[in-house]
Amino acid sequence: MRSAENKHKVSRPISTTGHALSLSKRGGSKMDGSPKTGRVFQLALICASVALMIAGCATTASYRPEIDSMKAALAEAKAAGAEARAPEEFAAAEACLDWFTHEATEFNPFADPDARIRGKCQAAFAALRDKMAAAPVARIPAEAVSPPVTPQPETALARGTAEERASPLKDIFFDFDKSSIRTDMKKSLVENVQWLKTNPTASIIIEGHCDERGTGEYNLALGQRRAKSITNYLVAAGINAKRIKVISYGKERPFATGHDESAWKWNRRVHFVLQ
Amino acid sequence: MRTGGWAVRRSFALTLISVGALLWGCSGVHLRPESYDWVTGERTAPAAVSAAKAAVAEAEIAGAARIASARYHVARAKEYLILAERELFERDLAAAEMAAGIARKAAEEAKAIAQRGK
Repeated sequence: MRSAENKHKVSRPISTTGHALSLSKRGGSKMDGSPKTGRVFQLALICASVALMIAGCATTASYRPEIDSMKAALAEAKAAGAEARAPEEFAAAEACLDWFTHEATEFNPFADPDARIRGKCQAAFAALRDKMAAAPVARIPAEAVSPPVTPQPETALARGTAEERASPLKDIFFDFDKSSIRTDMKKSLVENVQWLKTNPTASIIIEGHCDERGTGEYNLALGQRRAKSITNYLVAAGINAKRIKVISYGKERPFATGHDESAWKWNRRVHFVLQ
Repeated sequence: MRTGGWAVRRSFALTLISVGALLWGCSGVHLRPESYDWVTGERTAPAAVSAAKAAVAEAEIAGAARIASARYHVARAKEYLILAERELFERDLAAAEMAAGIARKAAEEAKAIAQRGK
């Protein structure tokens, strides 16, 4: 009789679901299967996952403008002859930007590039700016071949040969996939013509360059068209064609490193080398 | 009770999936370049960093730091060597090897300029 009574006592809560639920409402276990608690828990999990994804994407995207502005600053410094005028500072800024870009595009919430690298990069760029401001053009040593207004490719600096001494001729930049001369480049071309007329013994090599997009063959042809277009302009302006040699490097000798428009715009160009 | 059990199992599965996704996301595995051989990288990345160090030392011995046109290449080599060592320490082998490659190339260029200058 006693065991039957016990049996009845044990089976009671199991057989009556309503009683079990009422127990949970009075403060039972949270994982007791209450539909409301379960739904809230699931919703919280989904919200957390979505928030995490958005935060991850936003973290990467938020650095993009800063990276772009650093790239532009680096390209401008390079165009102003930073490799020769502030070699250490320029190299530090370049490496720091690469590092920053790498870290910012790698979503790692435990290693926020904001805290780790941004300050270092800003300091590197500030040092580069200061050095560039403190190193006027007149102080450039004879072997520093990059003039302030005429950008030269890295390889030109590396070669450092006599025929590639500082060129007073300005580079001409082009639009994407175009070999026609831009109206804003006419002024530079007129100045180049002027210089060539005042130095009638000078012979030049016109180098055609392209950005990294497209095949090597296509860019060699495009570089050739760009160089040819400038040659035609010079000849039409009265420069003897015998003084001009043309070569295309396609995308093989980029002036600015980088893989976006801020670098490409510097690489679509014609460069003049004095012979 | 049947409904409660199902809810528990569903919550448990969701938790498991969320934790898995979180760990996978934070590991950065999905951001690793697929073209890089991470197994061979265990051996090649440290070797690349050592090669870059040797190249920088050679460039310095050749006197590259004293030649104006080579100074940028020396500085570039040193900066990227620091990066390579840091990435190697952080076990980002692909980045370490790439940075070491840039450092070695810059050092070789500096050495070549120094040798031409002599």
